[in-house]
Amino acid sequence: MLSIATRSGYVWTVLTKVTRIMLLVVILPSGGLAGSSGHDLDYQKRGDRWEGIVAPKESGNDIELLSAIVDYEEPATAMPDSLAIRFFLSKPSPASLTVRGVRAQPHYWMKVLPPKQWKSGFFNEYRWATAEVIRKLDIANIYDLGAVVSLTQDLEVTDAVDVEVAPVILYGSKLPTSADGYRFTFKPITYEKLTCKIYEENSPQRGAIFSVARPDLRPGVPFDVVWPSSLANEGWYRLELKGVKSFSNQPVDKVVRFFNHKLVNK
Amino acid sequence: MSKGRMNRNSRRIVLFALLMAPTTIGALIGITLMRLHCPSRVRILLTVNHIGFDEIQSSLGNELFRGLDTASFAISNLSTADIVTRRLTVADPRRYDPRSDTYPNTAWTPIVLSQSGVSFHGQPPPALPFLSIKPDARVGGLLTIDPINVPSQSRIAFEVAKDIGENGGRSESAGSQRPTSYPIELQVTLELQQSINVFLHGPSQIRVSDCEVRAGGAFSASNQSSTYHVDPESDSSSIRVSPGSGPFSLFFTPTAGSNFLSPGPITISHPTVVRAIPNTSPERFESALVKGAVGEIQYLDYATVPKKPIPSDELLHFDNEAVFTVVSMNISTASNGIQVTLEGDPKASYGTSVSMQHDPFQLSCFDRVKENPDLRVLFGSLAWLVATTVAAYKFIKELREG
Repeated sequence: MLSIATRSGYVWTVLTKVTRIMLLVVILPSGGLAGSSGHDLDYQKRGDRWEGIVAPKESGNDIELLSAIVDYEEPATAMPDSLAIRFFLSKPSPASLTVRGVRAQPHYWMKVLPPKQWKSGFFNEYRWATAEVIRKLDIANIYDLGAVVSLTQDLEVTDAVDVEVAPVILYGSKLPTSADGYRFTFKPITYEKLTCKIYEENSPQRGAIFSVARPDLRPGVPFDVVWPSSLANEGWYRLELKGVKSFSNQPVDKVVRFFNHKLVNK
Repeated sequence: MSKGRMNRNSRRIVLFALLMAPTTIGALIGITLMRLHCPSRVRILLTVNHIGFDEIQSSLGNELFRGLDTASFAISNLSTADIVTRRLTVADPRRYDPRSDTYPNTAWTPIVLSQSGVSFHGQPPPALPFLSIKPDARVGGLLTIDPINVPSQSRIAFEVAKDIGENGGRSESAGSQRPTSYPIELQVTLELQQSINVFLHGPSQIRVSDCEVRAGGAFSASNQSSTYHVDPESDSSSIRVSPGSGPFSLFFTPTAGSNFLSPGPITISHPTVVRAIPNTSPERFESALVKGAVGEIQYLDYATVPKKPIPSDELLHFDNEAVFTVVSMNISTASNGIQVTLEGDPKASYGTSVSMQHDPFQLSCFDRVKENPDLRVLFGSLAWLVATTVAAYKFIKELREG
């Protein structure tokens, strides 16, 4: 026969066990909330570049330059194994190279590190593999991406009102023989009404050689300015975006300076 | 210590434990019930600047919108837009004045059309074809969008434009000084196979970018951005707009305060009320609830349970199987957001704040017991029975020993 002390010990043990079970029942449903996800697409250092996904890149400026590329499309636009950006410099210069998703996967961002000194001519090229990130993001078309080679500053999340760029040929394997036009892509921060004009820097007396109106812009919705440059002289040009914010009528200004060099193999 | 004294002490412990047992068990059951949350039918009222969901079914043949009156209409990823008209003028883009948003009268050139029809064809990638329609500012009025049906299980996102560029304007902060005369435009992102008919009730401006214009061989142009003035031939002429493949954005300005969705119940799953925080990697999200605006949860089967407020900085979570009915969706000019009313009985619903505190929105099982008269009587009787039985047992035992 069990003594009372043994019985009380038994009751206590049972009570303890019941309490533990109850606490587990209470605690378990509220636990395990933190989830985990794969991190192989995170924006991280991959050799000589940073590449991955970043929640939408926003500069906070009235209007952001997303891309400044030569208006060229490779015949086969399916995503190749590697992509290249090639650009012309009129003199040796440091440059900051960035590529981002414009028409698809706006979270994609690639930046070449560190900004380095590039040579004069059209032989400046950076090539990177698409297997690590781009293919995994299902970016099917080369031209869903945009690129900026900035000559004035190291582009991260902001860009200046006045920016100097080298328009980029974005391609996989086949280079064009000449740059016959440029495609600039911008993103407004608010409702804006703009005019976009191109001036030749060496001919200040000449008015705008190209003009287009963008009267109905919406926040965050990118738009292009495409300039057919086949008849333009070689030299520096200035793309001016001027206008107002639709509701407050506050001014909006943006200037993009670039060098027009027609022949790619020189 | 003598054996008799030990026995007496043990007896006292057991008796004490027996006396405490009803209270302890009651407290444990109470705490457990308070920590366990049971599914309950809820109505969730939210004011958001972004909400996404999968549409499962609409009672009216997957109809999302019906005969929507809007002050403006715009579409991205345009494939084609066709309009029947003989009176079309085009503006010279070099003469555009952004300050007044007008072109001088002399900037307009009439286009001679050989037949009554003009088509705008969106250029292929990398172009970004876009079309917007607005009634002539001098005449005013509204446009009407025909009913739009969406494929079942398609993902739809409603968003108030993230307009962070206007000083004191359409910011997302509480109590913004946004003039109420600013129209609130909604952006809806969806995929669609059908065309959309937009009715013009008077002279209107059509702005297209990255589109080719074709008019029966008599006129053809490919412009980056052009503004056309259309004078419909009848009182109500329509433009047939077809989106390209893949997702596109639809912009419209519904009348504030009235439900802009199809009136039939729309069943949805996987509602998300979050926005990505810019420039974060790994990607982080913030609440899309508008600060200072209504956010609350009502318990439909328990009228006496007070509504639970939903803090605007909390990220809302529901279980994956949760299905809701969208009761209404309308624009709130006061809070610069979308007011959404959802009904459903999710198995799990809770909010997490920045500090990752877990805030359940469901009623606890304790609340359900408390609010249910039958269960209340049952639990009350049980508690009374156990307590009196133990007390009686002890009383009889003491009497016998005494």
